[in-house]
Amino acid sequence: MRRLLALLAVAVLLLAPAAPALAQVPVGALLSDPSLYEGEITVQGELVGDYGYRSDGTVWTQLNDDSYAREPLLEGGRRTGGNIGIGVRIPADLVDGLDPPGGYRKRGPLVRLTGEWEFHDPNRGGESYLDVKELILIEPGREFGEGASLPALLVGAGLILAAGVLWLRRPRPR
Amino acid sequence: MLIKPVAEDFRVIAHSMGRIFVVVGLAGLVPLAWATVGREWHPFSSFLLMIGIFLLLGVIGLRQPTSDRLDWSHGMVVVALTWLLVPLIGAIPFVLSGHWGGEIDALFDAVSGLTTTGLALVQDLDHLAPSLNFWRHLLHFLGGQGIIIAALLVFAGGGALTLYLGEARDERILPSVTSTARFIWSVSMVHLVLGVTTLGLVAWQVLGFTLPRAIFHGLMIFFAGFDTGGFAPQSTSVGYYHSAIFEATAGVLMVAGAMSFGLHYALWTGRRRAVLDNLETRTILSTFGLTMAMTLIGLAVTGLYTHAVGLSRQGFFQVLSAHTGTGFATVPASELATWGGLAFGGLALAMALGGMASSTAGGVKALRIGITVRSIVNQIREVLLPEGAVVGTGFIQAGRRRLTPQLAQAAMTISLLYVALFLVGAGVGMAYGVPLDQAMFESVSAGANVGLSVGVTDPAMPLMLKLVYMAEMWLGRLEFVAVFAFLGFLYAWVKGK
Amino acid sequence: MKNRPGSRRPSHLLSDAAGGLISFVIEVAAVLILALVALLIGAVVLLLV
Repeated sequence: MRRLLALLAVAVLLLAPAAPALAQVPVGALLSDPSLYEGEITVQGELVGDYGYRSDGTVWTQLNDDSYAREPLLEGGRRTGGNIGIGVRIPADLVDGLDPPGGYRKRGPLVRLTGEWEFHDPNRGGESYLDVKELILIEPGREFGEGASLPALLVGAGLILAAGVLWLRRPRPR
Repeated sequence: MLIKPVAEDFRVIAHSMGRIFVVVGLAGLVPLAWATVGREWHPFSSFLLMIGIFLLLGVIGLRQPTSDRLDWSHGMVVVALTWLLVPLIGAIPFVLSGHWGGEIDALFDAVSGLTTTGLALVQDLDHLAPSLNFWRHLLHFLGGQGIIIAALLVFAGGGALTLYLGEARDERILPSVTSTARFIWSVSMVHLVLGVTTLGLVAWQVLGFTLPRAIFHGLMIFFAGFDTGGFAPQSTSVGYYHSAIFEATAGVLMVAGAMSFGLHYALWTGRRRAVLDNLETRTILSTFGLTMAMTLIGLAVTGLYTHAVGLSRQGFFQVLSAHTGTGFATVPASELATWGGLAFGGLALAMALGGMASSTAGGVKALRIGITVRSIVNQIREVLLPEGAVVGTGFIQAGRRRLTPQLAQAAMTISLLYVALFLVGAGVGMAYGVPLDQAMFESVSAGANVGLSVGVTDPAMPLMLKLVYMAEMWLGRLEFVAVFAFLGFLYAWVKGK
Repeated sequence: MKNRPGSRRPSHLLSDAAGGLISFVIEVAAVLILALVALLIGAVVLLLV
């Protein structure tokens, strides 16, 4: 009986989902009402732009929580407006090994970040950002291609040629 | 009684437009080269197409036989047409990229780029090809430094003066327009080298970016800062960098961009006292102090910032951005919309007042404000002083000048036109349900070519509003006169004898 | 009167890189001074409000 109870206890512990200590906040909501979320929060999205390695052992980057993180334009994603992002400060060791941040033809790593949301942090001259304590990789970065537009190439080249011909054969004053 | 334009008029205009199209087409080779190095083949093909159109139209224009006598009205038409047609063709790479919601959105950003406004309808900027991002910022540089000046340098020809003045630059700093143009170019190049080096160094060493990216960011922020444009390479504008040092460096470029070239000349040639005696300098320092105080008081009252450093840094940067007409932001648009009360007033006023005349800044401009204020003060003195007393009418602007009634009238007329422009734009915004303060803010931002946004500018905004803001950007950049001359020309063509 | 606009030849200007550097430094100084003024105003404002 005791063995059964012990097994049951282990099973419960193993199967119980890792307690989400905090509700996940969409970055859009964070931006609409930033002072509401002061304290520890979790956000999720794509890291974009650059990894700025500063001298104090932290990395600054931007986290975008918009449709482009999940459905990039170059993979047929729809246009849904501007990017929705916040600045994040991550301890450098958490960034090690991550794929490069998102940019042209690159979808950056999708991550879940937990940390302190600093709104108008007086220690950082009024900046607002997420001070990250924990980083979980959800999906690694991806790269895609984008080929040239053949019609644009041909028409463009043709027009330049035409311009050249017209210029060389321009009527000269005698 | 309007005289109908004849074929010769059209040929002269076409010839000048030809010059400008060729210069812009050649300028397009730079992003083309960039796309080649970065193997960005889709942008490459769209740039090729754009260059082809510019060059072909340019050559057709240049082939028009003309005696090269560009008079005032021709010059105005050329200026107005340039700021209409160059964005039209320049928007082609944007349209083909898929990052804009349509042709109008792409045109909006092209107009915003060339007029050094900085309002943007681009979508998913953070994944935009670097060469396209570069073209956005290069448009600021072309529009700021004046395509026309470049065209003059390349094809030294007649009619230079007319084009130059039509471009809303009110003073001749050097004896000939060509030498003035060359000086403006030198100032730009010096600031490019110093600015990009400093920004790049900060981005590389302080912010820890990779060297190529540091240079990229430095270059983009230089173009947008010095030309007081306001586009930025990432979607969070200058807030992206989270660095007071970077903001300060950008700030230096913004100030340099809002200074008149006459003032730059005074600084370069060692006449530093003249800088402080100048009417514009005094005016702008006063208005900056005023709007700064208003904004900081407003922010403190709303409790958005509770510590001095944060309050001052964020307030200072946004007011500097507004007053110089740049449009960089270190807070998101959604947050700027909460800067209510006196803070809103301070920012809106700073935007409307603008930078110095003969600079890349927009707005009513310090020279006009100074002249208007002086004029009113003089009127009051005349009333108060005993009859027969003489009121001094001198002021300093590149030497001693007289405040004549004509000058005062011209300054006040244009100032009133700006106010009317802001009000009309605000009215249209309100008609679409935008709250008064936001509609006013965005309208002033467009008409004064600033580019700060409280969120009204959005791909989903009504078409009419997009068109109205585009018209505001065009009218504001050209300071009305060229546009009126252009419309008059069209009217004469249709109705004249 | 020796520095009147007309009296300086364009060719001299182009080689005036020193002039450019000095004016850049002055611009930097101007921004720093303005920033300090902003800080002062900010501090005063917070005290009063």
